[in-house]
Amino acid sequence: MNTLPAPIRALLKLVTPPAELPYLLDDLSEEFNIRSRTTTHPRATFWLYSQTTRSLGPLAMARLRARRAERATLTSGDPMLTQLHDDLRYSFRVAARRPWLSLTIIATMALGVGTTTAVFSIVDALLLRPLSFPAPEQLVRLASPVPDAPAAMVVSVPDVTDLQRMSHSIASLGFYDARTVAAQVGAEPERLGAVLAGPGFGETLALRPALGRLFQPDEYLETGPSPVILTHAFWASHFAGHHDVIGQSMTISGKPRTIVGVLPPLESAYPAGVYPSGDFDIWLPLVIPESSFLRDRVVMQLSAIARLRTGVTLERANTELAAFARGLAIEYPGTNTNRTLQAVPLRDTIVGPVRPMLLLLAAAVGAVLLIACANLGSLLLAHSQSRVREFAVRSAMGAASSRIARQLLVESLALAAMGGIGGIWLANTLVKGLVAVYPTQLPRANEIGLDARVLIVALGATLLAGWLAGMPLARQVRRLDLSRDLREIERGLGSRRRRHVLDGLVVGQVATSVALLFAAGVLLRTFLDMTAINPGFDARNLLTFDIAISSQRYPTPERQSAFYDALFDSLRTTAGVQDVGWGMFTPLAGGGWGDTFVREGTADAAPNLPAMQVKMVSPGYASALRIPLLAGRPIERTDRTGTPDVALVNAALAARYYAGTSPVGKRITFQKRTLEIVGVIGDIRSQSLWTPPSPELYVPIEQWGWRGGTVFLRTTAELHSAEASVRKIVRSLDPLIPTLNVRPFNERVRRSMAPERFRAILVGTLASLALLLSVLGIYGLVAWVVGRRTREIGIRMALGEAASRVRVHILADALRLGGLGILLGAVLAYGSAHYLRAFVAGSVRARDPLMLAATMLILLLVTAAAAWLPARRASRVDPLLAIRAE
Amino acid sequence: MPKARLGELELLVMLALFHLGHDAYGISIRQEIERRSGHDVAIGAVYATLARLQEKRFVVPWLSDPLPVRGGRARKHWKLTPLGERALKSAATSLAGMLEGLGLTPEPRRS
Repeated sequence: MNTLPAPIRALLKLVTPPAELPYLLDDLSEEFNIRSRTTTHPRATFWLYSQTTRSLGPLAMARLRARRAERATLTSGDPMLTQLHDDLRYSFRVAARRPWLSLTIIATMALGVGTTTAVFSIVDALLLRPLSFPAPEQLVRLASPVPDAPAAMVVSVPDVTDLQRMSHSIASLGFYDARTVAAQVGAEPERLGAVLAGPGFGETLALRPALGRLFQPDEYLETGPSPVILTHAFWASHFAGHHDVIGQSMTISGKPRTIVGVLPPLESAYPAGVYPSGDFDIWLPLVIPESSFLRDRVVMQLSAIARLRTGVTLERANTELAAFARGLAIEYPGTNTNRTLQAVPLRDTIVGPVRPMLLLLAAAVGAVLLIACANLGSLLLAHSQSRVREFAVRSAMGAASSRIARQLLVESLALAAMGGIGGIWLANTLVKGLVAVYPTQLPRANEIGLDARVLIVALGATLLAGWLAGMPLARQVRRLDLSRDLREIERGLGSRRRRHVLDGLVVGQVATSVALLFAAGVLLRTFLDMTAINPGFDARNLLTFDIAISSQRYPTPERQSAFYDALFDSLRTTAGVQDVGWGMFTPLAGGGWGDTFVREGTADAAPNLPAMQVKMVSPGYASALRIPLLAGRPIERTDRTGTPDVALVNAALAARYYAGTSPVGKRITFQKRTLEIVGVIGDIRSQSLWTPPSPELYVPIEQWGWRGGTVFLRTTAELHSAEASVRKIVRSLDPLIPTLNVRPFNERVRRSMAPERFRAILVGTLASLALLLSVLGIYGLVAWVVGRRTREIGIRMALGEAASRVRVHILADALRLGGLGILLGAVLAYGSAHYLRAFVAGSVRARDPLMLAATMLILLLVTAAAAWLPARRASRVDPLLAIRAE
Repeated sequence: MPKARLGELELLVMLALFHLGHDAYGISIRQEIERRSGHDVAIGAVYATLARLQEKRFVVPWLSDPLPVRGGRARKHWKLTPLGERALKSAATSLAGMLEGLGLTPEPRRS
């Protein structure tokens, strides 16, 4: 019908808007045909050319206008965004079409992102976020390590006072200590955590009180006024945040004190470090009387905090401190030989002990995230095999391979994002759980939570995971060779390259799982070993509580003794109670009083005096704890003020300083008093379960006039009712005395093992997670391979191959991969074992070969189990169906 | 009420649509204009004008059934929109107003 000459058509095609061209040509030829019939051909042709030439201008204009309009609508909607929108919609459609795969991927990602986020939020709060003091990087704690106590963070007052006068690198410093005190705020007596702040302490921290002021110089004097400063939390809880607290009075240790200030709302661990519980309620001025033993250079009891001058590095400060300590050693050889001085960043003293733990956690979590990524990647990759047809069709319809690749990345990111949202929810739950499992030992716990930084990390982890997982697939599609890939499908083969990537991912997963599982195993063995250690005492059926009486209400030793005698008499006659004793220090809790003594009749002299830990205990202490009496007699109630001084020694002291002889009946000089050793008792673990017993001296609390401590009550009664009777007895004796921390001693023992338990649980959980993900990964891969080879298997079975052989064949394939992963994992586990070294003790080694062998065996079994199901499915293939399968 | 003024060719095309009714497509419009006004309008100009009128929403295209011949294609027909009709009436009113009393109105051409 279209009979127009070619030049006309070419010209018109050039200028006409493409959509109009066919209609225009039809119209034109229609009239041309009519004219050809009704007039002469030349006239019709002339008309045609005239029409065409006159049409060129208007048409070209129309085409331009159309083009401009089109561009306007294109730019009004961003094509990138439109495409992204399309890709996302498509991704959700694809995801919905294979719900189980999608759910697996989302769950995998949620676990990976969730654990990463949770652990990051803890690491962030503890290690990354600065302390909430002004210029926190300048804050250091001073320490005076001595060979016997390299980790002690205490200093001698004269040493540091000298230092303050001479130092060029220290801008200011202050001593501090911590103590629990009995106080009366309302009607009930309470025990409060008190910071004893020396001159310059608050100033060094650069604290600006929320209300009132810090202490003034005269308040540090014995004769000065008695002020108290409240922490912000205590002010809020006990005074409802009322501003008129300044000037009010509070009774502390029986002494009225005036409230002069309220601290700003900072982290609870103001002075931090050795007092990990960090729950302080008040500050009291640290008064060091001129006659105090604290002013003796030999005594190291107080903590000190310092602020370095601006621009002074830690190294420079420490060089100066070391030189200064050498000077002191020359000046005071009797006390300062072997004593050094050093500055430790304040933050390290707060989080120091947990830093290796957090690094371990970070490594474990990173491994889990990697496995999750590998899993996501291999699931997507394996699944993509069944989509080659789809890609081929899209490609044939004109989709650029980059466009398909981008679509796949969007898919992977969309899945990862859904997982990420689940992960953030999971992280919230996990953080609460983790903090709860780590009872009281986790410093700065109140600062842990999900915030913007944590969410950014979660987002980053999600994007990274989605990208890492989607990348291999997207790269493959970019190199997609459709004719080859389609042919391979026909032949029932998987793309060889794809298979290699998948193999690699599985090997990586298995290897990482081996390393994690190994770490978990070592930590678990450590924990189990620990529970098997004999602490030297019997923690069962033992109730403990802390008690302190105020010297204000019981001013004389006689009245104090009368109170304790009455208390113990009442306790002893309570139903079920077998033994009662009390002491200044709790076993396993650490603490103690290091000192030296002189053996009578020997040439013991400074600086090589025998050293020991001194413990003040009451009669009945050893028997209440069931510490065996090895020789002599225990401390009796008759060992009181006015009777000859006596002492017990532990087996370790007897072995070290009285080797071969019995110390019973020997005399020693200690604190300028002469004591007779009347008995030897068994060793107990005083510092921690891991710390081997050291020489210890037990002296009667009565003879040394010390008050306050922990009461140990051995009872056959149920501990709950025992607790009730304890509280009743104390109340009936003196309603103003608080009874605190009433709890079974077993619980204290458990608490001392909490870090080990926490580590074992946590890393164990992560390792199980990794194992689960690896199983999924192996299963997915083997299932995919079997799926690809269904046809081949069918043919082989049709030709007579036994089903068992098919199974073995597939299993062997999987085990080859698993075996490679396991070997790599073993190398990885041994290589990264130094991460663990900080956490293992006792008989356990960080490179435990037995544990490694066990781990490898487990992984081998798991690999076989994961491959078993698909292998069995393969061996049940119906040859006929299989050959017909795609 | 649209204030957009109509060009001469636009007016002619729209009047042709009015006359042709359901039968208005490219070449019939061109022929109708030529027959009634004597102007030999280029088909390209008709197409360009229709495109412009479509932009102004005065006309819309509709596709006819394919022609009942071998290889027959659908034709693109055009019709006035209500907006277009109003614009046309307004233009005719103003033209009639301008012409009134001048004695210029000639006899329509018959061809």
